[in-house]
Amino acid sequence: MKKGIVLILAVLMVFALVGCTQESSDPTGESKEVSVEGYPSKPVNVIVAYRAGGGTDVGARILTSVAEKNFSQPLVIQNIEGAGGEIGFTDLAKATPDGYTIGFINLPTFVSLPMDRNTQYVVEDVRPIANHVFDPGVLMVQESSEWETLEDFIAHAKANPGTLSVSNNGAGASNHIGAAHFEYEAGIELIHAPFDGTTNMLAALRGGHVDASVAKISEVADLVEAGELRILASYTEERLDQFPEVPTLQEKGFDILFGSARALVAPKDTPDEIIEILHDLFKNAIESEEHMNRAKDANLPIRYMGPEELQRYMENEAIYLQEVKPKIGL
Amino acid sequence: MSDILYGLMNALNWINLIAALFSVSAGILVGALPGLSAAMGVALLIPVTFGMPADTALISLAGVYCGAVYGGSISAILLHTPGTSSAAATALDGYQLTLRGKAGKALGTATISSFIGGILSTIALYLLSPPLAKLALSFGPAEYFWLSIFGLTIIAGVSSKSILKGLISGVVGLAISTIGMDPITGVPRFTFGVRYLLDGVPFTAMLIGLFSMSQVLIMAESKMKDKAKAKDLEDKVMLSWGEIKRILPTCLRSTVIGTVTGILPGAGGTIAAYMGYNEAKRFSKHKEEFGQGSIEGVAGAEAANNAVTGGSLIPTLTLGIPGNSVTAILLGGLIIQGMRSGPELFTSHARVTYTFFAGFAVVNVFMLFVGLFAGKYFAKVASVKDSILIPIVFALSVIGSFSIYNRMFDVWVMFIFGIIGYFVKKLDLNPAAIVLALILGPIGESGLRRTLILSRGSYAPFFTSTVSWVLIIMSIVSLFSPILMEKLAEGRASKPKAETNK
Amino acid sequence: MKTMDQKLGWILLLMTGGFYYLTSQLPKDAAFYPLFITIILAALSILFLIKAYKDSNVEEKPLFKGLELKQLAFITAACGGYVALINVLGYFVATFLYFIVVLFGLKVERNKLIIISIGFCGFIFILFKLLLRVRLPEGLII
Repeated sequence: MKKGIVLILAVLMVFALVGCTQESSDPTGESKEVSVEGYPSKPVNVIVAYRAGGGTDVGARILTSVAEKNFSQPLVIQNIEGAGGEIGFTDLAKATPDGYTIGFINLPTFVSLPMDRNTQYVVEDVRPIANHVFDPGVLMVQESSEWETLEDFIAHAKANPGTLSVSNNGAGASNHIGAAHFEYEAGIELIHAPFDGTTNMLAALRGGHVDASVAKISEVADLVEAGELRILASYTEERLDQFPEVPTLQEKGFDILFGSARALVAPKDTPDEIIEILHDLFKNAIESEEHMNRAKDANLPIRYMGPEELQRYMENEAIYLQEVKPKIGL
Repeated sequence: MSDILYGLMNALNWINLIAALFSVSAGILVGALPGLSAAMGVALLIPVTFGMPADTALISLAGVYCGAVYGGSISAILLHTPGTSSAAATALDGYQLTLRGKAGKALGTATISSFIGGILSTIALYLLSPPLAKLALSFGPAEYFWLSIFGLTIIAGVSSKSILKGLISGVVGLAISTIGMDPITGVPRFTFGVRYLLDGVPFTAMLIGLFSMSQVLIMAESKMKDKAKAKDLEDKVMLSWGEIKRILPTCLRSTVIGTVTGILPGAGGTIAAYMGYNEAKRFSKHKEEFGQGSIEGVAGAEAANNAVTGGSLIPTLTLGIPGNSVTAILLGGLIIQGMRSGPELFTSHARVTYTFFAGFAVVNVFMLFVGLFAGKYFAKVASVKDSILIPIVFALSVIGSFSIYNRMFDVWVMFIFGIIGYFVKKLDLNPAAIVLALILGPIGESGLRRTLILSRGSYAPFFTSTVSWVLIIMSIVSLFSPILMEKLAEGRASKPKAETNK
Repeated sequence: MKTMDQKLGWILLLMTGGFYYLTSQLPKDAAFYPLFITIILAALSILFLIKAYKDSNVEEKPLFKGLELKQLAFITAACGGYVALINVLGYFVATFLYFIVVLFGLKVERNKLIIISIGFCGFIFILFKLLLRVRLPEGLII
């Protein structure tokens, strides 16, 4: 009797395990014909590879809520977070290219993940629609710290190699790359402490548990204004509009440019006509006054790029990473 | 001060009152349905709030949040399947009360305790935000490590039967929590190439399987028989004064536990509820009731998990650091509305913020009334035949696990853990220990490794800060106090014998 | 006659062995914590096994008293089949069939059976598709 139950339940477990590992070639569960006629005839899913409430999600929701007004169907955000974005990116890459699934990718993360590990997607699995946000990187310390300038920080690091700690949002993630590249160019040795995401990375800095952090300007602008954090340098070509007194790394002799972009893409075989419709929709939405105002309120630096420009940007990111990562040991 | 008063008046205007009432009721419904979580309810509501004025939007989100956290206790008590993960601890004694025909009383206890926890944590929100926010920031990797150790000592407390089995369950939980990417190096552990496991086994799906589906199987193994109707029993929802007095200390203690736990990013309602339950048991004069249907047990768990709601808002609003997954979504909702966290909320947006706080209190009051009023109708669910409950609970579990990430993988995970959960319950292992270890394991491991990375291998930072020492002492006390208490009890018991021998 | 606890102890040891094997394939840093867990699990399993053998004379609580094996197996199979068919038949068709099969198997009277099956599907349809606009699994039919 007992053996009977155990046997049956065990068989069902195996059955279920098989069901689990069955890679759904189509995670959205749809398998309809790709037709351009009458597009859109049902809601469009927009995959966000990060959790609800996070930076990418907020930007996505603002943009889609504005774009939806000019679209005959709803744009539904689907948060598929995990593994630094890998899970969501893979689902996006493998989705049916019928125009009913698109998504946001984060650069350089989207490009760097396949270089770091065996991902189930490659960069060429998607085609660009438009870029939305471009968020430059900045090197931060606490306002109360002893380093007023970049030189102070570097001098301290040189005098005490391997003692200054920098938090990042995950091993191999974008902020880690930015920090490691700076470390390499400046000829210093830092401790890199990975945390789970940007909020926790910054919390560690704000609580004084690490000495510095490389973050994106949109995430820290408020904290600098409020006097909690200080920017030592920015990873940009020109000084930041909002903080003109902050030097760029280039000015100080370190040729490093770094920032994070968030772009809309679709699976690579999505028909050209649909991409064009989506591109025009989002370009208008991005450039609209309502969107620009709401983006400003949410501290999102917008930089629109069309498909060709975005494609070139992605390729340049790949080149940058391929050159830099071996040098800095990532 | 005037902003505070303005906020109070504004929260009491018609629109906001209606929003509060509707959202709390919706929240209770979402929370009560096994499989739907508070985070999901809030996330679903966000697009709906786009068209609303900021204060109404925030009050609605608060309503769903508080309602859902309380609502989870309803199915936990009546069906032994927590509607939300934070109600898992409520199921421990809540269901026992239902089995003894006291479902109404259990619901009443849950309602009143949730109210106390929620309202008092709102007061903390008003008065203690700055110092408590500082506390949140002071938690670094070492402190999180000790927090996880303290949490793990609770496993002994929630193991009412065999401590050895409880420990084994805990370690199995730890083992399961290692599945996924290593938090420091990113190396995938035990994922077998399945990308959906890269972030670990999907937690909510696992919980639904472990608690809800396992209960379905437990119902399925016995003959379907008629259950006693609620009206045949002497069971009222409202508690007597004596009972309220009895749970009051527990509620107050759990409120503190919940508020502090809520403040810490990464620690949420589930941990707080188990801690609240455990401390209720530790300080109770009726310890033997725990596990058999103690209202103090229910109160301890529910007051704590609702206190998390107020506590979690503190770092969210003051620092922009979410206290848990629900407030992370709420924060996003705030930003979309054009409000950013930080001092601005108390200066240029002060009126909206204080309306929100007042609305939070209003929401808790509505929750109390809805809960007490509807309690006797809820209790009727307990008398529904198992044969009807089985498909309903299972179908809801399927929806619940599917709709987190819109994929069937999670449903299969739920199914597998449902079978595992069935065996866990039959073999007297401890599902609570598994869940606690699942949550605390990763916190402990990353805390340990980050501290060592930052200290370059030295163990000194573990013993430096005040917070660390407080947690270390609490862990030692928590571990040894059951033994101490027993010895004290024996000492007292042997004294009268010595007296009579004279 | 081995008791349930003894069998459990052996299963745990087996699992520990398997876990250890998988852990040994990980790089050093990542393996540290799982290895630590393996050791504790092994120690506890051995302790448990010893206790189970020592107590093997103690009267074992009949775990499977009054167990309706056929009913349990039926429900489990129905649940498994339901989940498997959702993507094939579509959520609502699969759910409706599931309800009918289960309620019939549990001998619920016909009228109640029909009302509950239709009622639940209707409730979910209204609540999830119309009000909340939550996606439900897709299949070939509805």
